[in-house]
Amino acid sequence: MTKKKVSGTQKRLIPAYIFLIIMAFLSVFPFYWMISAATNETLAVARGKLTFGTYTIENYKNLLAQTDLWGAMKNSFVYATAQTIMAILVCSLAGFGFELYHDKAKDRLFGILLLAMMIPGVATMIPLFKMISKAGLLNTVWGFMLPAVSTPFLIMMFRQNSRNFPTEIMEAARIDGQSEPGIFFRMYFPIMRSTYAAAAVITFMNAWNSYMWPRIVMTRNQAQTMPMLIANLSNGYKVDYGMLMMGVLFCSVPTMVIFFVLQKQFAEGVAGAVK
Amino acid sequence: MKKSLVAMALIGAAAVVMAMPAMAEEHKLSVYAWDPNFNIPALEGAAADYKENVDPDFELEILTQSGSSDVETAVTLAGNAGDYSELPDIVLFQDHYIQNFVATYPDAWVAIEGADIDWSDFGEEKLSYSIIDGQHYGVPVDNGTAIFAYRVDLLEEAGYTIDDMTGCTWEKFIEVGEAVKEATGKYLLCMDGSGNDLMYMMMQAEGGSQWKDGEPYITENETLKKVMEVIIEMGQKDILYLGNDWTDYTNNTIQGDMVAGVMNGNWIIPTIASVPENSGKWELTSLPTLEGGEGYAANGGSSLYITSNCDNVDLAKDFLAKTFGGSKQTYDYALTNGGVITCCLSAGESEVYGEGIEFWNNQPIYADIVAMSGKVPIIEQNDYHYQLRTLLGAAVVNCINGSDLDSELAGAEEQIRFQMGL
Repeated sequence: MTKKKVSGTQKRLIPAYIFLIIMAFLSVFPFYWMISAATNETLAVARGKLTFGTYTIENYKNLLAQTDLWGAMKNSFVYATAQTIMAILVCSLAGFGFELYHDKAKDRLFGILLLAMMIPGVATMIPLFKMISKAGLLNTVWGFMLPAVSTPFLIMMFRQNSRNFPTEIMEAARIDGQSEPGIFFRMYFPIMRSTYAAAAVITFMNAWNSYMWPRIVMTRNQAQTMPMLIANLSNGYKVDYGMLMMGVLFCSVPTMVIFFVLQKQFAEGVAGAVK
Repeated sequence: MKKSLVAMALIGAAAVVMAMPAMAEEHKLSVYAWDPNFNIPALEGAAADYKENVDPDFELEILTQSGSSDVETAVTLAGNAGDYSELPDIVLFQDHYIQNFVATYPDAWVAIEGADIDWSDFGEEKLSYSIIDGQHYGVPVDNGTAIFAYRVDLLEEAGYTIDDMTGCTWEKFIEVGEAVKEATGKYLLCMDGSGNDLMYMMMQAEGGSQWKDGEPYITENETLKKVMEVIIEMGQKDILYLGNDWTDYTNNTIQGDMVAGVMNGNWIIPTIASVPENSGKWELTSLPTLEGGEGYAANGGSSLYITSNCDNVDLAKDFLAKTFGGSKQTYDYALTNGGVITCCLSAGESEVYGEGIEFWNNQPIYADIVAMSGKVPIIEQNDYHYQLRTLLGAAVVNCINGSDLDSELAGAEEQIRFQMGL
């Protein structure tokens, strides 16, 4: 009887499994293709070869010969890390302030902040470029990260998740003589660590993958990032797809590592968990 | 005494160190360029040429961009911000766009008047893009002359040779196309369906344009209509293959051996030549025409322009004049290392250009292309070239699928006029 019931449930799940298998295949296949293409010569990639080839070393050597791969990797890493640290610090402070020092004026200010989310980035591109150029910050890490240090999305995320922050701890800390910055760094920071992890993953990925803004402010070759380097390889009359995919592979690895390392905290942070 | 000597030596050293960057700047230029396999090796060759033969301290900083659109974005951004200080000394710029950019941002450019360049040594059609209000603004880099490349082995299977194709009518071309399709199963012509340049090149080969006095010239244009009819007939008879996009065109259609003929700007040569097993099977010639006789056209190409942010305009002019302005050394290097073909007619007479190329059945294709570039007729251009190309490309596809040509052309004309605000 039980056996029959289980098999009935399993049967009902078959369409769901088929759907999930198809979706999983669609998600994973581009990664597989990227890796297999990085091991093949350009003509084989152009002709749609999907199996692994023997051109891995050649593609890597060509990539090193034609581009400043490690320079771009270093730049991307430095810019993305700096932006991540600054953005989560600034936005968590703002989210903390909006939620835990709550009043009506701050609500109105928060409303204005949310309106800023509706303005498309390209609309502010020219004034931002003008500001950064006048300040002499082109080709610097500051020029790269300043426009993205405070984002309405991250502030909103910290504010929403701060609703689960136990305010009694703040009261107790104040009675024990803790200062307000002390409460933020010693209480809020460790308790909200899963939100920080989620925010760090999101910011790092955005910073690592950003293309339009760096293309505008990082005008020197020495300042170029990985997405810029790949874009330089992907356009032209004769594209070496094997070498290009090797570059894409290098560009993808850091974000994948960061995501897998912080996967658990990311899921908790997005769900708004508090430890 | 000793102390004062040391102090003087230190001051002297400091003065030398402080003067060094300024001295270095006097011999340095920066340039925006794209394509590490094409334009950038050409610029590297030019820098080495100038350093070796003119200025041993010369340095060219090549700021790599992902494509021509990056350079256009940079100029647009600087122009809209009213701040050209971040532009490099020189930019590589697409021919079809430059007139629009000079008109929109006149402060961004410096005319190359007074440079020691023999302009009569360049194809007139190429120069027609970079001459604005009678002044030269650009020095040509690559040659966009259109070629018609044929697989001679496949033509032979159908009973034809490349001589039958040189100067033939489009009517004859369709006849050969049908024979090739029957004998080999391959298309005799292909194009990127989303960026269809066929009608533009075919029109230029006839000496006609889709523009007249700055306005679209479409529904009343009998030549355009005939050209469109030929394209539609080729599509319906399965002689012409229109790829879904650029990648489909290059990877599947050309490199995937679906075709016996390719017609495009000569920059398509590296794509054709990247299939080693086809070595010796291709040859190239000029374009067919409606009434017969060799047709010449150009598609694409770019030139170098000096920006208003250039502090050393004399150096920039001299560099351009003594390299891309006619140096055989620069052009030979650009050809052998980047496949860039010059439109400087005398540079095309060098030994390197005259060499037979094994892949092309030992045809001296580079000398042939330079010779063709001198015969390309000048036709009226317009800033809305690419927008009209898209509309006419869509009209071709609709007509192949059964739509009426007249109504499609009327629709295209209406839309382009709307886009132009006419």
